[in-house]
Amino acid sequence: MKRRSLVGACMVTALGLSLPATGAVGERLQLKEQLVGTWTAVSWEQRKSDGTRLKQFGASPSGIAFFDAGGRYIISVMRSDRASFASNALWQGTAEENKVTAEGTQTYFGTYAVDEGDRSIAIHIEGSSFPNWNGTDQKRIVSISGDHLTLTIRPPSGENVEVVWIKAR
Amino acid sequence: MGGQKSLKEKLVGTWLQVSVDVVSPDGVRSPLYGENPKGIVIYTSDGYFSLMQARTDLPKLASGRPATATSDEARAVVAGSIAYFGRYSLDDSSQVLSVDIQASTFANPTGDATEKRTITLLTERDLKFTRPGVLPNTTLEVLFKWAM
Repeated sequence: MKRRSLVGACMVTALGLSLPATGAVGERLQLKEQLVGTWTAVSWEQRKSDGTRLKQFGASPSGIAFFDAGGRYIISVMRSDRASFASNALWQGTAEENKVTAEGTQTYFGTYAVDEGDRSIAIHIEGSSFPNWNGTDQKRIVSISGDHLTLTIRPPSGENVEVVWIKAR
Repeated sequence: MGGQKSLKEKLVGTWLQVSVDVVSPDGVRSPLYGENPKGIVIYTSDGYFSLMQARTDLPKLASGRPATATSDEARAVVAGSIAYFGRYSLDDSSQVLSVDIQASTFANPTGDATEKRTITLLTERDLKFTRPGVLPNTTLEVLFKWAM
């Protein structure tokens, strides 16, 4: 790495380039390169306007997010402590089972585009478990640090949602 | 191998829903999630998959919040869609795709590593797999097209 940095520094000197603060040429990955791949959920938390923190999918949610290189994504977060349905058919849930499922699972998919400038993604939702979102365009603030990805939703209400992910292994 | 791609090399990537049909023994098809269902499945090179399939006519929730869906709205969403994810593995000789479901909207198969689908078509454009239907003697036939 040191050697590479040195070469980078020499190139800067030789070519008069200005570089991002992170150092050597090519070391700073574009956000999209960092984002593409598979992530598993660590936490989902919403800061309510009364100061409380809502964990809609429980203390240890199950989840997976996938961003492909071609601009498609699917994001899914679910409570891991839901009981099985008494019937063995998804369409025969009781009112309580349906309520727990609708409230405790969230999946949406569609297309995304990275804004390298403000480090966010613009997402278009083609289909979801929350029909009100279908066909809408939304934004997620993206922060990547080491193996961790944080996607932040900033709704007009100010009740931000932070979803933390870890790179799948 | 003569330069032929393995099953996994052909499968990895993003696929979009074309149809999800329940096929009865006499060949009659009925769409499980209505006409032109929306859906996606992604298979990753590191062995994960994530899938969602949904009717296109799911009702918007009047309250605007999943936590306060009416019982009719919750039933429509839960019965009219499915999402699940986990790990997958492939058997090249039998064309069997095994899934280890880590979570699902349908809680029952969560943690079940025994579900299998048989891949009946896999080209650069089409992916079709079948699995036994929930009703006796029926087959669920699921067709996707390559997303690119």
